[in-house]
Amino acid sequence: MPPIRTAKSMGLVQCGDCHLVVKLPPHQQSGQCICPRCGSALHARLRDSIVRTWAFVITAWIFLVPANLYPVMTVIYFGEGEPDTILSGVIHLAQAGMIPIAILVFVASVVVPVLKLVGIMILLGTVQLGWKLNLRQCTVLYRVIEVIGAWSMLDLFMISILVTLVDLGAVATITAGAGATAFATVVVLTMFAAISFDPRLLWDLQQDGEQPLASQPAASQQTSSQSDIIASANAASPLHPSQETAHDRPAR
Amino acid sequence: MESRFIFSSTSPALEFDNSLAASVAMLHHQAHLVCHECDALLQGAHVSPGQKLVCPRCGCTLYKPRKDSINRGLALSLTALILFVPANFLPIMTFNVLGLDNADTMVKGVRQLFDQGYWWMAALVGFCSIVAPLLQFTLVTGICLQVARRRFGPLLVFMLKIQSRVNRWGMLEVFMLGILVAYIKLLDLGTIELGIGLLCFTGMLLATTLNAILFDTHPIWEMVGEARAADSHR
Repeated sequence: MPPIRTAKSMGLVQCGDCHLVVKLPPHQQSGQCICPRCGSALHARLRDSIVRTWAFVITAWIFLVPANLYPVMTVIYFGEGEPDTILSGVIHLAQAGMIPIAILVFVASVVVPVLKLVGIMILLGTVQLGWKLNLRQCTVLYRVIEVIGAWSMLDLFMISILVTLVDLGAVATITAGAGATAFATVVVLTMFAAISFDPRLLWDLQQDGEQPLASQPAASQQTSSQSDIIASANAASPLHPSQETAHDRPAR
Repeated sequence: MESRFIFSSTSPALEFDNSLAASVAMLHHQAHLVCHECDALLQGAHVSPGQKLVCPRCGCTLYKPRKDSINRGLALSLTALILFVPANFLPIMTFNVLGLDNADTMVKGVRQLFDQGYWWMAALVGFCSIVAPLLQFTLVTGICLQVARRRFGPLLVFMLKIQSRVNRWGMLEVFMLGILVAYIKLLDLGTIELGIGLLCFTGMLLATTLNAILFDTHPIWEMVGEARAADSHR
């Protein structure tokens, strides 16, 4: 099995929009070229990925404080009721005997945002401080973070439905609270943090050809079905003569 | 958009233009494949529908071809587009206490939040449950129609790019769970009737989910590449 090389080390860039593999002209930085197929600017790695991700993560942590301290929703039922924060809402659900729903809401609005932020910080730490973590597991962590992001919106959708349904004047009303605004901001920020992180930075920690592939196909089979085809590594010494070449970026 | 496709004649890399006609022809059967998650350079392999190509380094799915992706994408996105109107404007549920009742539609939920002064939340909920799905259906329909009419111009490229960005912001499945949680929360407080809007919403959700699985932009990008190659030969 040949060792794996990265596209970057071979002077190739994959277009972020149309996934065309493009050869960069000599002496050109990736940011200066556009993709010949779709016209997007070509970047070997997402621009300022680490800095942007940190900015989103830190802001999200800050907004997480008001999101949990301020009430997200006030239920007034026959003149009774008081504002609920995210956590007290979960406790009320549990006290009312709705344990599965309480767990669902707790996971979606407390566990998921916090784990997402911690997870992204672990990825950032791996890239910046060179923590010796299993890169495959880090990539799985990244995928999980990307997928679960949307589920934090559960609480906000629920509030929008409740607020509309329970608008019965003196009998029962539900209103949103300031905490919901902060929480909405946290959700958006964590999603942007996940988008701005570039998982290829993790694999850049590995030197080219450091990892022989001999054991890899076996590892892949545990996670994938039998019909999967495992792509083979390209020895790639001389590039294909007609390899696609990037275009110069027109001045704008 | 248009200007970005044209080589600037003043560019220092003009020498590459000569090889372009030959090289653009290679767009649709590239010898190399690059993993989008770990940047590994890989040998392209033939994959037939039902199989998927997996990166040996990071284990991510590189490519999973779909049969008849354009027709199915068009059928499903049109279905979702048709169901979109009743799903958004007809009541999802009606809540009733002591003879007073109130219906909830998706659009009304956003209005209500906005009226209460929570415009940021209203905008977010509206974007993720109404605007992004609508954009998604319209774009997939538009893309499929353009491909069916064999128009591979800048409009198609533009739609493909927006579609891939708007994708992750459509959260109908999460909204479905929100409906469920709200329903269970209100069970003790009064009577709830499920409305016709919920049925349409469920249909729309199914069509979106199937569409996300079956619609495949990879062959469309290859067709765009072929069309551009044919153009540069002329």
